[in-house]
Amino acid sequence: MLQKLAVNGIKNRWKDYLVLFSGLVISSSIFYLFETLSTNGRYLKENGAIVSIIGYIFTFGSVLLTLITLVYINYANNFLLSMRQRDYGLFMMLGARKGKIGQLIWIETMLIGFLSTVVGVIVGIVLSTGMQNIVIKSLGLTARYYAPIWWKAILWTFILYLGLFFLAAVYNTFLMTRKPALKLLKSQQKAAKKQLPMWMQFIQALIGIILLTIGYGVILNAAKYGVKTIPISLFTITFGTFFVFNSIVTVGISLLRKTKLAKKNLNGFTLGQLEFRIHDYTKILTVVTMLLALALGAITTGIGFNNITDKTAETQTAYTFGLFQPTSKQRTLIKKLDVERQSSYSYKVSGNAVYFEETQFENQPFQTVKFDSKSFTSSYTKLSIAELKKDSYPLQMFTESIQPNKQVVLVDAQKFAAIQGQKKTALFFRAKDTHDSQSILSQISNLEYAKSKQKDRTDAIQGNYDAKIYVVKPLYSGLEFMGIFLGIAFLAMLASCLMFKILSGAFEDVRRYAMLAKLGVRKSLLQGAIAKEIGILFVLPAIVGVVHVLIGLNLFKGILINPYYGIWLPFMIFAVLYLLYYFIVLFMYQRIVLRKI
Amino acid sequence: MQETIIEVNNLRKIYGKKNEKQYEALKAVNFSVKDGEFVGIMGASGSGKTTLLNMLATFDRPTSGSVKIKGEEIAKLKGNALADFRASRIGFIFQDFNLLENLTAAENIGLPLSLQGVSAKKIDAIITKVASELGIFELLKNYPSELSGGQKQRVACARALVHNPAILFGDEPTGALDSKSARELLELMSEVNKNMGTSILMVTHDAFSASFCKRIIFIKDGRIERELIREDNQNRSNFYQEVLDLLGTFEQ
Repeated sequence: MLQKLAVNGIKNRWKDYLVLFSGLVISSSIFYLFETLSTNGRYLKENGAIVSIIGYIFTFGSVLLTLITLVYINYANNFLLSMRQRDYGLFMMLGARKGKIGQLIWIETMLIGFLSTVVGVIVGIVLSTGMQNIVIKSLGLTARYYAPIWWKAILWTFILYLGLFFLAAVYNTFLMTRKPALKLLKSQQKAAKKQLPMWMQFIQALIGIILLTIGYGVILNAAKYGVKTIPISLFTITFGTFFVFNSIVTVGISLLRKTKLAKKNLNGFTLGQLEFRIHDYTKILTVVTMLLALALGAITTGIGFNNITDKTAETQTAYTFGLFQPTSKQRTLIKKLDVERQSSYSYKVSGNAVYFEETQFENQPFQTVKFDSKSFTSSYTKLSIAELKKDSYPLQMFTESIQPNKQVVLVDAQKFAAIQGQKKTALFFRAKDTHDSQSILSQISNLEYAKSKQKDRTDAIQGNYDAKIYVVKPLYSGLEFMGIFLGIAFLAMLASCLMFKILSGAFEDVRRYAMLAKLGVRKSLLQGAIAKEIGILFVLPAIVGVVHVLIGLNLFKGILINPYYGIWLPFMIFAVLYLLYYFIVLFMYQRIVLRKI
Repeated sequence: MQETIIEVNNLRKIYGKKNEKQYEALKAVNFSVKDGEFVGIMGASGSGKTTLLNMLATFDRPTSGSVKIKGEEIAKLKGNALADFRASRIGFIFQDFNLLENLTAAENIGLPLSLQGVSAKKIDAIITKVASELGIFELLKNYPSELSGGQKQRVACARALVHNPAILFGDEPTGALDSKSARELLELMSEVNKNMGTSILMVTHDAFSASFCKRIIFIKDGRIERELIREDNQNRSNFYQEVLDLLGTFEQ
């Protein structure tokens, strides 16, 4: 009978359970996603060759994610408890034995935990497969040795989630069997929390700021602290963020409440709501801030690797292509490109050398490239004939494909004419490497490769395009994939965290807003109050999170040369997504809270 | 002649959709309330008294008939006009207080004024004045959870009166109070009625509460069955006895 009642209770509140369940599924699937990267040693080793400490970074990433999961499950469990307390209290009133109640809540918690973990892992496998395909296709990346179905990840996800749910079940059982029935029945009537005394807040603020300063300081001097940088900064920044939220924001709100502004329209109510909840929210605000920083940081560095791919390729030579005896097909293809510079030279092959006519280099100077890491731009300089004669490597780089192991020699017109052999043409051009031009460039490249005498494509690099595709990209794409993959994963986790916490509060708010409507508050004002309240919960983590990212990017100075280059792009993308998400949550919240008004 | 505050004509309320089983909660109710009156509406559970109050207070819409408050037809009000009407013309005291637990007593009381765009300085002055009149000045900084039932209802009363509404509605305002607090609240309401001239309409099923009114309307099965008026020279305990007597025969 009791079992029936319990199941019925779930049926009646299936919407709430849906929120709970989907939140847990998202959380466990993201954890799985992360673990497919972090427990795949071969993938990390192969793709992270240029980042020697990558495995180390991932270990701490796992620790942080475990902490976040801990907070998350704690919230999920509180949500479950607040849903069920009344029901179980009622069962007790009806004469259910405590042992039976304990058994029921234990089974319920474990069942929810188990089901959501199983579904989460399945979703995680689907997601990682999908993400692998999407990221690889859309960005042209290759992630060697990445496996979407990774048994180690499955194992770790189960160990963590079932372990945590086991603890939660034990806690719930303990709580339900100890609390008197009346208290359970009236559990929803919570009393206001007293604010901490001012000096305590002050100390907290001080600790928070000190921790953040240490964390930032360590990151800014990463070279000095070496491998200790990550654990120290992770610890100090996480707890620093928490203390700052717990003190400065709380005090700020209570000060705002005393101003005139609080007596305008519903401002007082909104501030009251926030102050009432801020202690409850500080943990989730911290988690959201950290997730936001991780997501934004990961995406920014991911895109940073993309930038550096292009830039590194750009700095190989001054030309997109050097073509030897360009075919008519190649020439028509070139016409479709946006060509910045083009020069064509005659050459003859004889014996062990490739001969060029030097006067042609006077009329159309051969260029080399220089890269300025500060402004992140390339500049081109002309090579004089004397320089080229002294070191012909810039030219020889191109001839290696069709004439391997032959020297490049510049001769005057007279000598050139005297050399035996057919006069041929070499065409060097620099074109804009845009997204649309990729297929044309690829065709030109393939046509050129057909002429090559080299077996390995990496030995037949005819300019920057080939260098990008066959040398630089394979080096960075694993990392780019990692960055974007993690960015999306953290973003999803952030979304589910915020949604979960905010929506779980929505049910309490239905009554409050109904009350305000009865007092004669216009609907537009009610909507505005909700928009403000939720807005603040979005804005606070955004501000702190962005600061974390801006400081944290320093860690990538070694790998990315200038990690701040072009960050407006990921920041903009992120801002748009975040804003969009705000409107979705706002819309859902208003639907729940103002349904009957 | 006194001004009419509420005028109810042929008010009917039917619950349930047309093709479902319908229930007629109010059947052609007619009555009016004059300025400065203290009217009680009595009836057993299910008699329709709460339905009637919800309709008068604009929380629910009548199926047919009209309700006018200060000459304004409230059944036609919608959206912002409805909200503004509630905010400016009506004060309401609920059985379960309905205070916002995340605001202090002062903030709760000041809320209707904030909504009307009254300046912060003026709001403080009015709150102080009303709170002193209702004897809750010391409680202004407290949160609802720190107040007793009686204190909460006084705060609610102050909130309902702070914007000088045309009428104060009460839905079993003493329902959740102990007898001492209930008596204090009713005395307070009588004083407000007498000294501030606020018209009050209160729904109750409790004869003691009703005896504080000057006129009592008895509802049974959605109809007004009787009316009782307290004579000018009649004292309260005498009136209480009369109400009890009437109830004794009325319920049968």
